[in-house]
Amino acid sequence: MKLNSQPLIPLLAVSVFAAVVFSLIVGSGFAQPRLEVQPPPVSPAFSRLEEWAAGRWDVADRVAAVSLPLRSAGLQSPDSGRPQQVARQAPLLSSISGYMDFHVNNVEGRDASLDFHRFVLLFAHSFSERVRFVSELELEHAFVEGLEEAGELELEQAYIDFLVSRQLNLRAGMLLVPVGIINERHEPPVYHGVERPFVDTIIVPSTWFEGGAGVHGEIGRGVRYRAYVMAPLDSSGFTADEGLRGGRQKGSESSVRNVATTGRVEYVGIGGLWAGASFWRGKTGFNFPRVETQVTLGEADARYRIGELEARAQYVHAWLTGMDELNRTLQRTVGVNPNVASQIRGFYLEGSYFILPKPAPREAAVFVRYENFDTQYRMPTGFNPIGQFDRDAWVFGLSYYPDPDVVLKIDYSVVRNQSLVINEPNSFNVGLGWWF
Amino acid sequence: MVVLKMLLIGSRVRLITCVLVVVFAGSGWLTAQSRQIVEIVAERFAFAPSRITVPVGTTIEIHIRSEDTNHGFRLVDGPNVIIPKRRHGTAVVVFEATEIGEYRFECSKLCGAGHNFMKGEIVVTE
Repeated sequence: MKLNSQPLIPLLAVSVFAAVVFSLIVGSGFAQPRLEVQPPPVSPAFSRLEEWAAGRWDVADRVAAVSLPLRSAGLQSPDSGRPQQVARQAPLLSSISGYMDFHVNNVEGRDASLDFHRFVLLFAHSFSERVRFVSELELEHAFVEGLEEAGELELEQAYIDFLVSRQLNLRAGMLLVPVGIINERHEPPVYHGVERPFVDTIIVPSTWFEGGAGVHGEIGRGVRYRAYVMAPLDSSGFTADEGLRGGRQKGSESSVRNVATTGRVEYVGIGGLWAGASFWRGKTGFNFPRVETQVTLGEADARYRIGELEARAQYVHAWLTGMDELNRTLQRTVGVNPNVASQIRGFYLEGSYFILPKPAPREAAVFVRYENFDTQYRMPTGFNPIGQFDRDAWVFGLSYYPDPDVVLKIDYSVVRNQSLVINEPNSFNVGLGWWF
Repeated sequence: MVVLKMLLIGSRVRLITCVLVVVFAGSGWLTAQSRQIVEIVAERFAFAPSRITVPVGTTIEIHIRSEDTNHGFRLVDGPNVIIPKRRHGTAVVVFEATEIGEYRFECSKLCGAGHNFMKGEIVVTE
């Protein structure tokens, strides 16, 4: 086929003109109007410096490669009064990060399983200094085929921040519920144990996310808050063994006939100490119009690090009202009484210690965690608790970090319950997690 | 010792001269200077402390280390420096407070779900 090149000529001309104009605009500083940026020195050392300052080298590379060019470039001390380079590092407009979590679970009485549990990508974009977007897309269990048993593809976060001031900012979109230590801070290198704590899985149904909007900010020296209005839990999904977990609507055409309110206050003003308290409250009975159910959840947690030692503690308690009527309604409609409790609660204490000396390029920490969690702590009148759901666990193991963003985890979990008939299986777990 | 030096001249930070210096662990060179030193720990998802108050005319060296991954320290509308990962070094920002005001800083490297929470401010008072 013969190609007629005549119509392409004006098109090419326009494209070249547009490209020249665009490069002139960008090159003239239009995209960064607030600062005068002097051209960098022509020395290769300085171009290396710019790459370094932009974070495009890893640390080992910087240490090895930057020191010599800097000396050869003859930089003077900051007190010399004679600046040699003027530069401004604009924030990256768009960023991609992510984390992965891959493990082997050998549970007593079952075949060992190998699971690529989480493949998570974070995308962020800055529309301007004050308008920013962050998202987190998660593929669980490596494969999606409709239902959760085969895997999940979840949009765990996708929100816009409108940054007004340090004290007050606005946020809207798909949000993480700000409850507990793990739900908002769940990258594998930041917690010990192959799996997240039981309390942060069963009592706080992490990862707990919903559509919503709210405010966040920081007051004074280290007092931070979040307060959101979000889609509520769906009480028709509550169960005896996993409490609230099955009630997450996950932002998928969530009913908002009633909205939930949630918030968190935390104090981070002293180095090494993080202390927080959270709540969640909402009506949850919209699937059964004549059944009024409501959940009120309160939580307190703290982390403290001193030297190589870190301690964590968390307590969560939830009050569920209307569960007697819910249990009876579900019995009538689906034939199964879910035996949902009127109160559930859990807590854990964890201690960890870095055993490799501080200058080591690699790190290792040992940890032990005690957890106690009961999804039938109190029952509605006329319903009896089942001892199987009053559980506690000892989890102990090792986290080895070849890099601060890569962790090899080994742990053993001893889980017990109050049942005289059914035993909880223990498990040996090995996992690999990383962040980039 | 490794030093990176950048001088910022801009309209928004017109009377603030800000020099960024990055010093890797093991250097004692800067501590010999007559400056006030402030230590900040960066960790998902906060700077601690996140509010620094100094009188006008002060020069402060802000030593920032991470307790986990790489973070960034960026003065809003200003320069940016990467904070090395845990135990991989310390970033030092030298800030000359020549005008009264509040100067915000933030994490400039996407560090996780709560990245936008990582903010702070330098308050320059009389």
